[in-house]
Amino acid sequence: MFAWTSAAQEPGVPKRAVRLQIGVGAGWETYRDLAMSPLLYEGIQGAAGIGIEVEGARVLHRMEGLFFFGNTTAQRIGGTTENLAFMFSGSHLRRLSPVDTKWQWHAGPALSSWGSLRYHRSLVNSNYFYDLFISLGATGSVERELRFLRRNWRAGWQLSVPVLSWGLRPSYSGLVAATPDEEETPAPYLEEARVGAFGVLTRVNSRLHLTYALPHANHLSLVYHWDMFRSDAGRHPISHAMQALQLNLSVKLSR
Amino acid sequence: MKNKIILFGALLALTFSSCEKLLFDADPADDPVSNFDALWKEVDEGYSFFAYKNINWDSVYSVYRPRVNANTKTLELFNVMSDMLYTLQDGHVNLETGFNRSRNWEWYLAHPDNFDANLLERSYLKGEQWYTGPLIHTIIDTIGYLRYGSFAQRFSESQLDLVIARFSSLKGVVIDVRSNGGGFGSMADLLASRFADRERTAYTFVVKNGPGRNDFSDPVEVKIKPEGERRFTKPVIILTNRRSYSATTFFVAQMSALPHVRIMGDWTGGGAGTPVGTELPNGWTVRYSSTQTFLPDGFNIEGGIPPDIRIDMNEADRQQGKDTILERALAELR
Repeated sequence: MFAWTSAAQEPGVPKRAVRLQIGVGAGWETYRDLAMSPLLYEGIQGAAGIGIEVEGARVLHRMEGLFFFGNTTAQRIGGTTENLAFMFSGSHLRRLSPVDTKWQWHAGPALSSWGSLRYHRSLVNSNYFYDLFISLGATGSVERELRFLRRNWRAGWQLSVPVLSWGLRPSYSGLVAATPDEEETPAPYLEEARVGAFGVLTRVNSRLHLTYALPHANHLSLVYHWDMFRSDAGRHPISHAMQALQLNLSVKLSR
Repeated sequence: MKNKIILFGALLALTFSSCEKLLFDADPADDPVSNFDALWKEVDEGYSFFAYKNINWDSVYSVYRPRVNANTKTLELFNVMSDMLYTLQDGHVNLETGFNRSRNWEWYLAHPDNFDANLLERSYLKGEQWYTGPLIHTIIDTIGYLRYGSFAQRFSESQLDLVIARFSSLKGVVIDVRSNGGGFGSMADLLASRFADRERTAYTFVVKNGPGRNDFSDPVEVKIKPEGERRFTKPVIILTNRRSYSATTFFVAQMSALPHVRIMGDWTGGGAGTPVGTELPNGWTVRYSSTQTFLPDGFNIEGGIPPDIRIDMNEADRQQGKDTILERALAELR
C-alpha cells in the first residue's frame, strides 16, 4: 500500500490526518461585467492558496482559500483593469465507498464564497466594481490511487454546485461609496444583496488534483481549479470564469 | 489504466478551458449604430436628472439617431454623440475617446468669471501667504483668508488643524473656493468638519438604481459633524462663483447648514449628481450623473447653490487692484 493512503487502510497510521496546504500558481480570468463594460475582459492572474485538509476513516474535510491578483484586458480595445479576488471553499465529504476499493467516492455539503474587486482606471468617479457570493450547495468527489512513472500518486476530481447563494453586486454602475452611512459601516452595501437559487446566482466549481506522496506522509499536489459563476440578478448581469493551476505542498500536522 | 486516468484528467481540464468561451455571449457589435444605441440606452437607464431638467430623452433619440448609419465615420459619430449628450446640460456628462472628450461647460462659461488669481496674489497675498499642502492662507488685518483651489488636491488633518490654529484668535475667516472645480468629497467633509458647531443635517441624496425614470434609492441623509480638537465657529464667509463645482457645491451645501456661515459671490456651478461611467462597445467611455442631491428644504442643488449675498466682481475695482467680492467679505467680517 502507498504510504499516504487512507488512514483506515494502513495499520499504524492515525485514523485522522490533518494537513496544512500551501500553494502558488497562476490563473486565467475571463468575465463580462455589464456594470463596467459590455466587452469581455481576460487576463493572467497570480495565484496563492492556503488550506487545511482533515482526512479520517469516514470523512474528508477540505477547507481551501485561493487568492488571485493581476490585470485583465478587453482584447478589442486594450482597456485594462487591476483585479483582486479570493475564493474560499469548505466541504464536508463523507465516504460513500468501502475503504478498500480503488475508486473512493465522497459526497456532502459545501460552503463556498467568491469575492472580487476590479479597478478600471478609465472610468472616472466609478472605477471600482465588485462582486461577493456566499453559497451553500452540494459537492462530490472521486479519487483513486495509481502507479504512474514508477511513482505513487493519487488522482481526484471534486465538483461543487451551490444550490442557494447570497450575492452582492452594485445595483448601479460601479458607484462605490455612494451610500455610506455616518459610521462608514458596510450596511448600505449589504442592503443591495440578493439571495438566489441556482439559475439566478449560478456557480460551479471543479477541482482536479494529482498528488504525489512525499516522505512522512506529506504531499505535493498539482491542482487545477475551474470556477464559473453567472448572476442575472440586478441591473447589471455578470458572467465570470477562472481557471488556475496550482502547485500545493501539504504538510502533515497530526502525529 | 493509470495512464487512462491521467489522460482523463487532462481531457477534463482541457474541456473546461476550451469550452469556457461557450458560456459567454459574444462581444456586442462594434458599428456606429450599435455604439450610438448603446450610449443612448446607458444614459436612458442611468441618468438621474431627466425629470429635473425636463428632458424628453426619447425625443432626443429621434433627433440624433437618424444622423448615424453604418457608414458614419468615427469623427462624425463622436460629434453626433457629443451633440446628443450636450442636450443634458450637465458638466458631469462626458464622452471620452482616445482623441477628444465631449463636454458641456456652459454652466460657468455663460456667467461672469468673478475670480482673478493674479489680482488676488498681487493685491492680497503679497507673498505673505503660507502654503500648507494645497491650503493657501494668510491674515488680512484681523481676518483669516483661506484659499483652496481644488478638492482634487488632498490635505491632511494635521495640515488643516494648523490652519485652524492660526486662525483661532481672529474675528472671522474667509474661505475662497471660487473656481474650485471639485474633486474628493472626503476633502469637503474634512474641511467642513472644522467649522461645525454641532451635528446638523446638511443634505440628502438619492441614487438612480434601476432603468425606470423613477427608480431611485431611498434618500440618504448626510450630516455635517464637528471633528478635530480645534474648530472655528466664529463668523465665516465662503466665496463662490459658477466654477465652484461638484465637490465644492457639496462643501458649500454642508457649510450652508451652519448658522455662522454665509455664502457670498455668485451661485455655485452645481454638479451635484455623482457621476458613474461605463464603456461602449468601441471602448469609448461615457460618464453621467447618477444621483440627485437636495438641501433640507428640498431644494435640488444640481443647478448650484445661491449665495446669501449676491455680488459680482466690478471691472472698475479690478482696475484699482481690488477684488470686489473679497473686499465685501472683509468688510462684513471686520
